[in-house]
Amino acid sequence: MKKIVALALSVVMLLSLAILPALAEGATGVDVKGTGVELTVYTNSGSSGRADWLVERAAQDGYKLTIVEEGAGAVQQRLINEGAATPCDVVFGLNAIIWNDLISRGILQAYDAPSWAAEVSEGLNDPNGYYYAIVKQAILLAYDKNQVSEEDAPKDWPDLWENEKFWGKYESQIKLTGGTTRNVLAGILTRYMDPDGELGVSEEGWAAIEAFFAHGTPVEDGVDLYAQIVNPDSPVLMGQMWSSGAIQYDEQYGTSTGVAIPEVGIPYAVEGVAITSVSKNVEEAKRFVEWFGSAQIQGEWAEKFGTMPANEKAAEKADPVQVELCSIPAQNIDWAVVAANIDAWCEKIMLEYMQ
Amino acid sequence: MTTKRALNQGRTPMERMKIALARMTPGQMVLILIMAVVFLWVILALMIVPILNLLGTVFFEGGSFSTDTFNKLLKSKRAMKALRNSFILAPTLSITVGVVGISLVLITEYFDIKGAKILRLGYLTTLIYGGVTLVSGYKFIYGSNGILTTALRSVFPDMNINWFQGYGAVLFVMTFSCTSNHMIFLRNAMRAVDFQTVEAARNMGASQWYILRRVVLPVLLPSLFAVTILTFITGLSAMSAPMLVGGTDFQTINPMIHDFANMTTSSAKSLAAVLSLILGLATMLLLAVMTAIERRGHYMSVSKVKTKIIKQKITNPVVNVLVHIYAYVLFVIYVIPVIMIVLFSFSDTVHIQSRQLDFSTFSLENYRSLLSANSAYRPFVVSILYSSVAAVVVGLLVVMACRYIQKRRHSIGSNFLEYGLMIPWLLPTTMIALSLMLNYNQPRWYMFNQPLIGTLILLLFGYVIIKLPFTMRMTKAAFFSLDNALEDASRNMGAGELYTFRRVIFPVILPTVMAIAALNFNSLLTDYDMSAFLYHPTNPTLGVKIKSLTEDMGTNPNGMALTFVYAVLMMIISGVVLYLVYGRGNRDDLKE
Repeated sequence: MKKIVALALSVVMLLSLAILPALAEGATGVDVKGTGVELTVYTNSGSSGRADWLVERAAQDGYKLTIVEEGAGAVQQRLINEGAATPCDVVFGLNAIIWNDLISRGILQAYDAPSWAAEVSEGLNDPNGYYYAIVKQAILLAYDKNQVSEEDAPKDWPDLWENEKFWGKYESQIKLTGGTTRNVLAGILTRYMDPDGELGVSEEGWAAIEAFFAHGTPVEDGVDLYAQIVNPDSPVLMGQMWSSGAIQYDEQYGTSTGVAIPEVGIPYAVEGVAITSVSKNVEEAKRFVEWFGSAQIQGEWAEKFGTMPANEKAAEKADPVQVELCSIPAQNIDWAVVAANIDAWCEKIMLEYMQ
Repeated sequence: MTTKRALNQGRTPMERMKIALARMTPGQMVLILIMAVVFLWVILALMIVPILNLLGTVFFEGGSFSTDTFNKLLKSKRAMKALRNSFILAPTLSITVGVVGISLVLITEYFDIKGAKILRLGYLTTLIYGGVTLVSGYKFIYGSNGILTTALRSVFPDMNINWFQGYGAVLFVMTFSCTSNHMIFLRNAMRAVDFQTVEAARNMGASQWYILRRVVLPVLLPSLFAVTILTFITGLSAMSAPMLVGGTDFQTINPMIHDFANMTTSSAKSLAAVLSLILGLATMLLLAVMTAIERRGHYMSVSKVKTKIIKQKITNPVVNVLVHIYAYVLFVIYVIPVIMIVLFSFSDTVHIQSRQLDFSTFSLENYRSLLSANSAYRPFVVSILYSSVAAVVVGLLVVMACRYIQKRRHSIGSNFLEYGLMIPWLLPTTMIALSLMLNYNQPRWYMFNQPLIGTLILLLFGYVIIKLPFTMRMTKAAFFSLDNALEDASRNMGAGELYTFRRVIFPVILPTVMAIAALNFNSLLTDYDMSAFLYHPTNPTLGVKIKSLTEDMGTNPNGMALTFVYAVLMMIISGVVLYLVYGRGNRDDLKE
């Protein structure tokens, strides 16, 4: 009799294991388990052990991931050039500029909002449902409060080139391929949109960019901003920085980051998650997105890697300094317009304005 | 040989081909046919078709060719200045590297200099590292916080700490870092100098200087031509040195090409293509001139029974002392950057960036955090496998091609081969990678109807292609300095063509082929540009891993220090590979 009960019990257990994913159809967020279908995931946000952590954590919930991890630009080029042959199912990370470029090339598919999409701060998700936000980075004009007082600090980007006292004291970029740089340029140029201007930007806008590059101290390749700020021999006291970087560098260099708080707000680099239009594993990909963006997983991610979750329910797990930096209002930027023009803008700057 | 040449005189290539065909045995014909298929496929399917395809989409996107690109470039002061700088750097660098490179070979192989063995090890250090790492090593010494600058500053407090910047600094760094090819190929050539001829000249009263000029130098010339072309190309495509020490005044064109090539618009890509085609055409022009000079001359050592050189003592005592001083100063210049890199790999990012050598920051933490990760060893395995397979494949292809060219100089086939295999020098690596991706993201009949995206072989193709021109140029030089008498003797004694090649020709060129393979291996080991686009999802290469440490919005606060650890580990791997290659060479010495 005991044997029969044991047998029956194990049959029930096996059955329940087998039908668990099916039962989970009604579940949401972290409760949506994977079915073991292999997913290929491209990301620029996989270094410092993030990729390894994610593969392991996802495996605990039944997802089988292969992660391709490289710079944002390389991920973008890879997706464009691989075309329909891409093995990629899910992309996460990147930023709004690249997302919009990928959308315009038909590389992503729109999908029904995951349950957590409503918990994301307003204005960060793609309005057409091609990507949903997971992490945000504030793009800042940063300085060291130990060396520059708040009154003496610039209040907004244009101060740098309009006010002579900042000339030579801020860094100007020598490469325009990085995400931070492109967000800064987008934040400046979109203030001067003019349908009759060259590349959609007014003459005033180009004059501003010219002055921006003319009065900066060019980046010394291989030396980061904070190394220049603390170096007494370097004139550099301020420059562009992403929010989690500011926290890291403060710890490393003993600086105390202050930031400009422009009236128009600041650009945010929005890391999102999307599904490719040619994915053969759409159902599993959707399950993964539902799981990955949930407050639970994003909270764990934030705790482990110091990121700022876009999901407001997960925000409490983030570093308080990060939360404060990311409370600066977002600048109103039409990312689709930026995505369509940024390469042409950068090309013009590289040819005409860079030192 | 003479009869054949007479036969060929005054005939068109077409006629010559017919004659050659008529003289072939069936076995030879099959061999030629197989070779023709292989090389046609390599040149057409892996290079010409993908590249034309890419250039087509880049230049003719709107359906017609636009001259916008040229206008934009002509209007851009920055582009024009950078282009001019590149064309200043290339020839001057060819001269300075030539002078230093020849002197290194003379110091280590020809003159009797005390401690030559140690000196040679020092001069060989450029073979185990390069690029950003190498220039950083120099900046640790001469840069604004470098040890030399700091020392000078304590003597002259008012000095300009940014003195190591601009054209002079770039030329200095590159002069000493680009002598690798001289150390390998000129050295091999130096060993072909016949000592009896040197002795004979001396007995007839020739001075040391005269012997150097009229006996030694002529033997070195074919290799010198080849390495000079390489230096010229290195100068034209300079990247890390101008970026790191060029300052605002001396930026070159390649970083700009690189940035444009990495942008997604066809307008930016067409800028990259035009700029790199300008550099490529300059390279081809130089190549053609050099080839013409080479063809005119006859640079083989006339001696049939070569004796190994005995090192010459410099007779003039003053000159002797000066040469010793020169040799050891160079040694110091070469060795200190390497030592700095090794030392700083134990330090942290903050100190690396401020270039402060502080022993209290030293720890094994960097090494521990890099090597303790589960997956740490994997990129090493991937890169070593890819690089070694690619080096071997390239070597085999090029030896076959050179043998054909050597046998059938001036034929249509050999010209096609020679220039076909140089194609990758026309475009930057990034664009070649993109051309492969773009062409093979769909099935093509000439690729057996398989798309290559996401396959392991794609990156191997990429690696093989970018190493073809260098390998071709250097291997050809080795074939050129072959003594035809050896081959004639073998054939006269009744040996077949394959047997002659296997037992007579190949052993003679083997040291050079091995050296080239080792150099190719070392440079592929750190490749980023090709790997970034073509690597297989589950098998990232070392270059990709290292680059991810210093990405924008990077997440690793200690990324910079880890790149130094990788650099040191790769120095060790490269060093071992070179030791294996040269270890072989030394065993040969014993046999003599």
